[in-house]
Amino acid sequence: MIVADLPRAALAATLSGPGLRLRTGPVVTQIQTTVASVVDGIALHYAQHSIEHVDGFADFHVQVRPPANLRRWVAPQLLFDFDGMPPFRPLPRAQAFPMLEWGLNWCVSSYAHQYLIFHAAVIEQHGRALILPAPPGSGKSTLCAGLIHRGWRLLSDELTLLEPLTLSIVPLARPVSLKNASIEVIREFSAEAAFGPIVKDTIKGAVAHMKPPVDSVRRANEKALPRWIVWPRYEAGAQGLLVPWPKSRSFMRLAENAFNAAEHGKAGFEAMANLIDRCDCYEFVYGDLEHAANVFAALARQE
Amino acid sequence: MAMASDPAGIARSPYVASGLTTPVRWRMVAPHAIAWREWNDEVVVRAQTGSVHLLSALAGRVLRTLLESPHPLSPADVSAALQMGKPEDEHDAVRSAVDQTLDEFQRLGIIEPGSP
Repeated sequence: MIVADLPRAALAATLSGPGLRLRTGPVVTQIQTTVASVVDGIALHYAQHSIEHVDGFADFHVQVRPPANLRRWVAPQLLFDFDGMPPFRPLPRAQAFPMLEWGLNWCVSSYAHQYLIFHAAVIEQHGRALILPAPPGSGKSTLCAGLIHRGWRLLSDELTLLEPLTLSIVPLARPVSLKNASIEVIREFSAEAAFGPIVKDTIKGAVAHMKPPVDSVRRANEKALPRWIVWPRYEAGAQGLLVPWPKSRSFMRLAENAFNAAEHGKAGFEAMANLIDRCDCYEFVYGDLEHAANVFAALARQE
Repeated sequence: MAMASDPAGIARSPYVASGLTTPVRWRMVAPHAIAWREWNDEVVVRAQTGSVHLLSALAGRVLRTLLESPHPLSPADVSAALQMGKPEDEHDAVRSAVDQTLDEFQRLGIIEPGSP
């Protein structure tokens, strides 16, 4: 069963009652909420995702709920609960769906230590994965959102999950978070891109989530082997050239973008080094998304 | 190499520990706990503490020399290994760089003094 199989009223009843056991890649999360914008967000963005049986196992139990104090009513706020504890400060009610998304990212990056987890988008063609690690504001998600509308499969927009022993990337296809000017850039870039509402004045500015492509969600069990690591950066007017980047420096930058390398110890170092060994590494400063799509299409054609 | 003088005017190498007459010899701290990888003459090393460092080509060679040695090495031993095949007028520069590298390795917890 997938989320789209549930009528809106049934979805709302499940979320406000026993909870929705939502599968995203290898992760099952039980979500409970009575907040209408979260119900709408799940109905839109997770329409093709599987629902697990209510008696089954869930990795995480989360809620988006009003606090028990006056902020339930006055300038209303909401809390993200993880196993009954709120790990973050409350946020304005208008930010409910982004808060769920940020909370789900936090759950995975904090607890899914069977994987080496990197702050990186990752996409795939012909079984070969392209990893796009970068700090916030670099244009990583914009590039990722553009490329998944030009033939690449979305594995993840935010969290790259690497199996340390096999070096396979495990898909975690969830909504793509876009910010500020990037929202309009992607709307113009692809008529197929489906967005939820723009939420303004978040800590990241204006945020909108883009629905993951149906094909990417349906192929959530298809892992991919990494082939390229590209360090993207948006710069107005930049030529958009792939410039080879030293592997040693790529290793150090990747380590900076790892959430849990310390938990994996020496084996984590070896896995990261093996990942670097098997990938071509580049820096990519781009100013035009269509040109960037052509550059990566040419890269994908390489042997 | 810079030498320090004590009040009695006796030149003392920074590598001669107080009260000892032989230079300190260095060995890897738990070599099995150290991980490293080399790409194009640059070495990345993971210290026992879990910290990760990018080493220069020379520092990478110092690391390999210590890893491959079955016994602790003095700075002069390490320098000799790295000076091999280099013109004599570069030897002082190599020795100075080796001294600095050993200092840094000790600070990072990669090496420790060992018995000869």
